Amino acid sequence: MVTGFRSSLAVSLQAQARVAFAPDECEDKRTIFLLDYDSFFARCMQQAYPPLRGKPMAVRGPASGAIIIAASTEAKARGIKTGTPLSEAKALCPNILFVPPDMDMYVNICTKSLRVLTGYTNLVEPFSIDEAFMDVTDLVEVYGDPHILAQNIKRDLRMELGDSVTCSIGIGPNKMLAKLVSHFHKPDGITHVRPSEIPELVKHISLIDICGIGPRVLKRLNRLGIYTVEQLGRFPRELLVREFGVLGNLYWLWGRGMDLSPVTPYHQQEDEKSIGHTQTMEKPVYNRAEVDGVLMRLCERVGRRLRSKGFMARTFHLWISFQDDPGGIGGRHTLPHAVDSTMEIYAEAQRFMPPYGLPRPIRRVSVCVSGLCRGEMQLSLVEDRVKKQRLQQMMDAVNDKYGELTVAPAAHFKCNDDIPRGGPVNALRKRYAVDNKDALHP
Amino acid sequence: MSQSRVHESVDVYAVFMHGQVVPRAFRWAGRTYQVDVVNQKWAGRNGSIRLYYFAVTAAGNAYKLCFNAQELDWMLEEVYM
Repeated sequence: MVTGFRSSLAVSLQAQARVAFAPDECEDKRTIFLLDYDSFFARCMQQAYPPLRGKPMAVRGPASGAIIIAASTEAKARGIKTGTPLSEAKALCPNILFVPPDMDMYVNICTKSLRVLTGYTNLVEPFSIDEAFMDVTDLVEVYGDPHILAQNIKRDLRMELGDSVTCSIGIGPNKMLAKLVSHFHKPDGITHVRPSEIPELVKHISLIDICGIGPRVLKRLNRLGIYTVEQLGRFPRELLVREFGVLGNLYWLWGRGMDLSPVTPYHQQEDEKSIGHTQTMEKPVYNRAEVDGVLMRLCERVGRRLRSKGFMARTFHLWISFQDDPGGIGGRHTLPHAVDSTMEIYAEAQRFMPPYGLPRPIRRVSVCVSGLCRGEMQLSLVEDRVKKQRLQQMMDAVNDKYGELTVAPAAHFKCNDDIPRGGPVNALRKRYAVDNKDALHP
Repeated sequence: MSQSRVHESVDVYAVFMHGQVVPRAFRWAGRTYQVDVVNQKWAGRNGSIRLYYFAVTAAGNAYKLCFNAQELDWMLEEVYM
């Protein structure tokens, strides 16, 4: 009923849509680069270990990760991609080699690459561990042609990182278009979209190609009768704002090939809004104690990141996916006060777990906290809580000095995996911001 | 082609010069391996201990060496052959 109403509303709204598509409105005087490393983790491994070069290989997830987090170009040619389960990859390519990830290596290589980029301009925004935006508007005036500048950057990166670590560069008048076209010529390519080419470009791309439009947003856009980027740009802006809030305005601009967001250097970026970790099991897990162990480990990783940044959280999310139901179950709960200890996060996550056993074999567990705030914890009048806080601080101090999981709650050790490291972007930001000066340049 | 984790203590002949560390050879399982090229180098941590890693090629195979700056010892971590 609601869908039917929305469909008829959409037809009515589309009939009212009379906003003309004016290419000159899209003109942005900036020149933005998006550097996207090709199969970054896999290429780093191939650079470090030459026997891996030219062979189908893939970096598997941390711990006993069950999925591929990066496949080499040779593996991709056989249909293997990020997220492919190891068993499926083996079936597609029996001689594929799986290697464990080396986050320290990736973060160091990324830090080196950011040093190269910031040698050109301060307007460098790390977007992920293997992507960075650059605003090179001023530099293009010096170099004359963005292509020449892009080639120079690629040459300097190759000299610094090695021949195997290549990147593709998207060049556009804004971040959205630079990101979009960076995938057009991979690997090791350069793609330039000029403002005059935008109207033609939007005819040939799908809504889902735009970074920021995922399956859920796509469904909602479809319900409004919007199926193409051109339709998005022609849709009345105020109606998109009514449907999506402030994001509606953004979507409308994207539909016209526009994006006004600036390239923001790391030190000017806002604090994180949430912190989360996910683990996909190698095999479906039937044992509740093992799942509790995974849950504890995820809570510890979330808690360590939270505390290392001086944050506390009020809202807790848990999601578990079953072997036969990827949708899974889970929920969100907000406390009246903020907490930061592993045990408190674990207790909140346990709220959403079945009281006894497991209804079905579990494939994936995700823990996330949001509603982050800074500041000192209020002094508790309950002595037990004060003791727990002191215990947490002592455990953190020991783990800081002697390494992760030197001391941990016993539930941690119900799963037998290796010790995973923090998320790549987290590790990158932490290392780049705090540890940059201390890095070795052997 | 295979990858194996070793994690064994090894003797390393290395040169410290111009603020850089360059492993030149290492002795593992009774055999000496001359380092042909250092393919990659990076730093990491185990708690407060600073670790320096070197991915090197020797005799056609690749090795991951680790220098512990606190203990001043070297470990052979992984072999790719």
